[in-house]
Amino acid sequence: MRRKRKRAQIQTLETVAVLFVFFLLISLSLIFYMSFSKGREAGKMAELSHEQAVQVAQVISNLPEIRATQQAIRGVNTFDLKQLEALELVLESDLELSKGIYQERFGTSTITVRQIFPSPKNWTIYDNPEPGAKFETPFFIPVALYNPLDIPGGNYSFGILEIVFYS
Amino acid sequence: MKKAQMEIMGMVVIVLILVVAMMFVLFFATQEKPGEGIKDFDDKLYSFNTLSAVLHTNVPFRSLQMQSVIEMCMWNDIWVGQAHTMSPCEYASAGIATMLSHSLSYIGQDYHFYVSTNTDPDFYKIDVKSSTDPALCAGDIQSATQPLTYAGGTMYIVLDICSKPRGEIS
Repeated sequence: MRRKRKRAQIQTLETVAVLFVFFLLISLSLIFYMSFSKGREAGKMAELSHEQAVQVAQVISNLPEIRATQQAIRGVNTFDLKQLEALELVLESDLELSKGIYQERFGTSTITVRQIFPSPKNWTIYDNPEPGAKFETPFFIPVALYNPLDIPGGNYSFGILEIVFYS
Repeated sequence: MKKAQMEIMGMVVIVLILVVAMMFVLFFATQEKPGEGIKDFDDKLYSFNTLSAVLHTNVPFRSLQMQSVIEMCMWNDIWVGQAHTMSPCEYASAGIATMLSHSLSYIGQDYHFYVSTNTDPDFYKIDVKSSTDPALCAGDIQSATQPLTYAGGTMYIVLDICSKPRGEIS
């Protein structure tokens, strides 16, 4: 009788052990799936944010307000420095304009044109960061900056267009 | 059912669970990443745009275009007209290094800019790198080549940008 009870106890223990392993496997796969799907979602969000930054970059590089049309270098985004300075000034002083039509175009982003060579200089033409943004996606494009007043025929300097998109 | 049969059944169930879990993992791991098209297209244009912008830039000395300075460098390394204290090759290298270090290095990308000729393709008169590491740009690169004719023949201006996501600042 006593021996039979002992055997039954061992069998119960065996069942408990098998169940424990089974649930352990299930919970491990659940944890794996959760972390995987979380990482995937974050990656997707970052990708979306990057695409939005690219879209803003495309809009700004084709903006007639600053694009040098007469003396543009083939294949390179060429901005007219004088028009760039004028746009910076206008958007700084005219909040109605910067919060209206340009906010529609650029959304929550910061757009800076940096002249690198021959001398460093910056123009922040649009600045509308989103407070508490989850993603800050920077995007850069090489640009040529054309100064029509420098020498007869104008002068080109080298720079980058920096867009930081907040989402 | 005998005890041995029961245990075999248990083993089969465990193996089945493991197989299903493995299939699950494989399914997610081998899925293709969507949305790479824009990035790839954009990266290919990036090196060409950078190279073109560099070549068209006017340098402070005599407001010459960088392309003209490179041409003088390749043709005997002598200034045509008023001379600078630096040779054309030194002057061009310094200017290109400034431009690329403040643009490509600024966004955390390695690069290799070099100019060779059709007569000696392995000798670079202008050789600007982001680092002296011999393994620089050993992986994927986005390369842009601009062939140009000069007094001595044809020269090839090359910019290799080592592939790295452009949005990441290191």
